[in-house]
Amino acid sequence: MPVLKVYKMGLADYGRAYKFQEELLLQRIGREIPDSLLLLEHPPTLTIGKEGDLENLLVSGNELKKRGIALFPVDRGGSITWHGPGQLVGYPILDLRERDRDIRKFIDALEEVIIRTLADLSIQSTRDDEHVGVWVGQEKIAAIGVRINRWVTKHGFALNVNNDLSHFSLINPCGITDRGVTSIVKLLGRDVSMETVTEKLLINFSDVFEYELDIAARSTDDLL
Amino acid sequence: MAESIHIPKLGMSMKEATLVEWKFNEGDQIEKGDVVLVIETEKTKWEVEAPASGLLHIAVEINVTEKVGAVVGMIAGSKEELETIQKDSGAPAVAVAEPAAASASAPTKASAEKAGKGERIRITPVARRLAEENMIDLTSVTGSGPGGRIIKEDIERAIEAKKAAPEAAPAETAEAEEYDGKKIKGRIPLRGMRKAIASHMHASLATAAQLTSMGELEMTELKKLREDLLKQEEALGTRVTYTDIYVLAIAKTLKQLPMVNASLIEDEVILWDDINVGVAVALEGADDLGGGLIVPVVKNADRKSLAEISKELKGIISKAREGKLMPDDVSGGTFTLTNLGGPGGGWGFGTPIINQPQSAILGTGSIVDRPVVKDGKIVIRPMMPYSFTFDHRVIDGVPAGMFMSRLAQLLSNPLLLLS
Repeated sequence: MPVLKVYKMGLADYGRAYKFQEELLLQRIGREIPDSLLLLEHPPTLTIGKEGDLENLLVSGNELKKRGIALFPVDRGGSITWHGPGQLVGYPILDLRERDRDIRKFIDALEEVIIRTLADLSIQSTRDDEHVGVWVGQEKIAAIGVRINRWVTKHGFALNVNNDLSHFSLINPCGITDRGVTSIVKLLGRDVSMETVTEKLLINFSDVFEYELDIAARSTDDLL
Repeated sequence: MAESIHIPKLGMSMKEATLVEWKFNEGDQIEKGDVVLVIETEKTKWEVEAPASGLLHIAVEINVTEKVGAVVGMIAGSKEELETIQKDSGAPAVAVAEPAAASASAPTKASAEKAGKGERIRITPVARRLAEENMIDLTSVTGSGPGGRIIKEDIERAIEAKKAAPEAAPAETAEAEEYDGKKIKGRIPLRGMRKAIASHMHASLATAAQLTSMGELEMTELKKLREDLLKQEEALGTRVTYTDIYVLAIAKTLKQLPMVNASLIEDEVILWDDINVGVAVALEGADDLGGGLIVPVVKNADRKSLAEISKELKGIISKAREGKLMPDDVSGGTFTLTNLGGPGGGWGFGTPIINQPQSAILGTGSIVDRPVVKDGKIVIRPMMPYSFTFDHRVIDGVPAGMFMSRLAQLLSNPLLLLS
């Protein structure tokens, strides 16, 4: 089985995590490293995939500043989204040259990992034919946005675990106006730790993508 | 012959994609393999590379959704060919295009009404691309374009500002805020490296039974050795520092005393065969990590020459300053060295905190001429204070003492480093 190197980064600045993704991506394109997965949380941050997305930002720049929320234009697919503490963000740096060169299959597999992880927590979730992501009823629980360079992936998914959902009211998440957002803790009505979700997600990631996991014992968090 | 640029099929079920960005302008010279176009399908952006070199003709503008296989641009082999293509397709493509195919991004009335609070952020496409490439937080930028629109120049200024003061404290308005009756000068969020340092340091003290023994070492011979090594800078290919020599001496000592090169992990003391010496390095505030501390690790230091250690450390440190560190550069240490003689420290002692899950850390101070007693006389010698912290759960006083005395022997008789 191929190896997946997993980096648990803890809370990481958007810019710093992005830089790290870029490094790994270049090395993966050069086949210098195995497929990798970054798992982390961001400080409150909004990101937009294209300029039209600003239409889906419902408050002013000053308001964001006041609330300590950063806003970055980024090079992934998808529209505006929110990241912040309590949301599990995953950035897979996978070489699709060594799999099916098929974007939909890759997205399907990411969704499958999240659906199975939620099922492990007794939450039934679904795909939506029109909107990429993972849904519980009419509410979105995980967003997906990806960039592929020479068949190597970057960016990824964001799964709401126990984050403050009120920040989503500042935007039309992913440009969709008529649906809401939810989180694992909101649905279960009890506390679930980030570690528990991370652990289950990793098991499902290795099952769905068929990897042997190599979890970096000490991660970038060790930049001590 | 002109080559066509078309929407590639990126998977069995893929039917169409939206054009997101042309990386070149109409008529630009492009080289085969250049990323010429970015498209989006299934919330995934994909870079389309030029199939040939030549002059670009844009046939389909951005924000338009096209079927797989559709020709969206051409690459002409010559100026004449380009002109023919442009004539055939009715002049250079005009930037009208269908309104964003993704109806999702069109704001609903409801959302526009909700937006009442203050000015909305607006930005030009060029400025947006520049912000994206440089990871500029738009909330830190004031738009100077019409209607407060953020324009290219605003982003350029933000990039300059970011270079000058990365991670500077957020520019907060100077309201005399108070907390518990005390005026606040500034707030720095505990995050990133700062947060990592805070949690590692505290976790280390909470976990281990740490104590520090202190003393001083005479450096007369080592000082001479280092001066000689400096003269050989060219031959060695590196400027050897005291730190480099300490790393070598520590590695040799650890080789003889494996109980100091150990970790207590889950009711088990693991003696490491690898001798990986970390060196704590302070980062200046002017780099994009915004100051802080990192610990580059020289792996298998016992098997490396002084010059190899020196070059490796310099390499990792400059990577750190450029923000290009890889996790591997700072992980896997089995012992740490920290220099306490840095800024403001001078000749002095400290109580270094162990870098978990290691079992010991050595702090070294500045080498300073001090009066010492030799053969009944007061003489002046260069002395270096040291502070050796060890985890008493793993290491008792005797092995700790043995470690320091063997290290002292090596540093005061550096010829032994050759052994």
